[in-house]
Amino acid sequence: MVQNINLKELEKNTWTLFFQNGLIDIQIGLIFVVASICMIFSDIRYYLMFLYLVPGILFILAKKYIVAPRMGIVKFSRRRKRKSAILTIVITTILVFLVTLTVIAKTNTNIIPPGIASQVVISAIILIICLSIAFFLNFNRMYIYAFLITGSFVFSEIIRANPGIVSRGGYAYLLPAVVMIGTGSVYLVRFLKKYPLPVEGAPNDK
Amino acid sequence: MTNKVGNNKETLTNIDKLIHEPARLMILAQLYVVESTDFIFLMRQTGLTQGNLSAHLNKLEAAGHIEIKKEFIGKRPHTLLYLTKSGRAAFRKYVQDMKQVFDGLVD
Repeated sequence: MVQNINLKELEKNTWTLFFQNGLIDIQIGLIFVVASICMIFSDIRYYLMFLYLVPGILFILAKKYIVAPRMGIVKFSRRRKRKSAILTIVITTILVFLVTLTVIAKTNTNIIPPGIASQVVISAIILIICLSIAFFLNFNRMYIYAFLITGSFVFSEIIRANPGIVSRGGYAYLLPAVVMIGTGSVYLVRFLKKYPLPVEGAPNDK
Repeated sequence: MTNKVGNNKETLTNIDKLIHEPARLMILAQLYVVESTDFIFLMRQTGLTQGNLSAHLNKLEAAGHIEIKKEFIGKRPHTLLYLTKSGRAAFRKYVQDMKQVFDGLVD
């Protein structure tokens, strides 16, 4: 029995339940695997673009057939939806800023010098996007992923600038992908153990 | 001082006893922070058994605090639960009443 009910905490806990099944980690990890494959096989990357659909489709199917029957369905309050809308606006704004900056950097090298400076700016923007996601969604593991993703971007740029043994920067994205898929899998196994399937036809039949 | 005790007594006697029951309080608190949930979700979150939860839901529905919608997803029945406007107001009043009681008692 709950002895002390804190409504704000209860809402936050209910929301964060959806990160406890590890599906989001696995999905983001798979997106990075696809990004990595597309970069490694850059000659045929346009034919590989459809692979970006795979993580999304897997996520929807897993939600429907693994999470919903075990955990049930919940619709969140308007306040929470508003928070998600703010996140979307923040990320869109940052992305527009990033694209504009990239275009300016390519066309006018006086404002943003090519090389290290622009990479530092892009790294900072990637970090801000990831940290915003972590903050607005109360997705705590994303704080760690934010540094992993930014680090892999920096590493990827270093590899691309110095082609040697590994010729393409895409390999750098495999590290955060493996970490995210691994963490997600651990959470998924824990979730499956904690929430077994209810007896056939029982609870929602009430 | 006597007035405070008197006020507290009055507030205490006005406390909604239907909501005051711990299991129902948990159900309403959970429904208060979301828009809607289904039966399984509520069962998982409250830790109540299927029969127990069902009995409490029926009482809350009879009081007009919650609305139960039954639908089918494919061939499987699915129960959706909402807090009604009056249920939301009753829960808010309950919280205020309890705060008032304890504000008067502490110190």
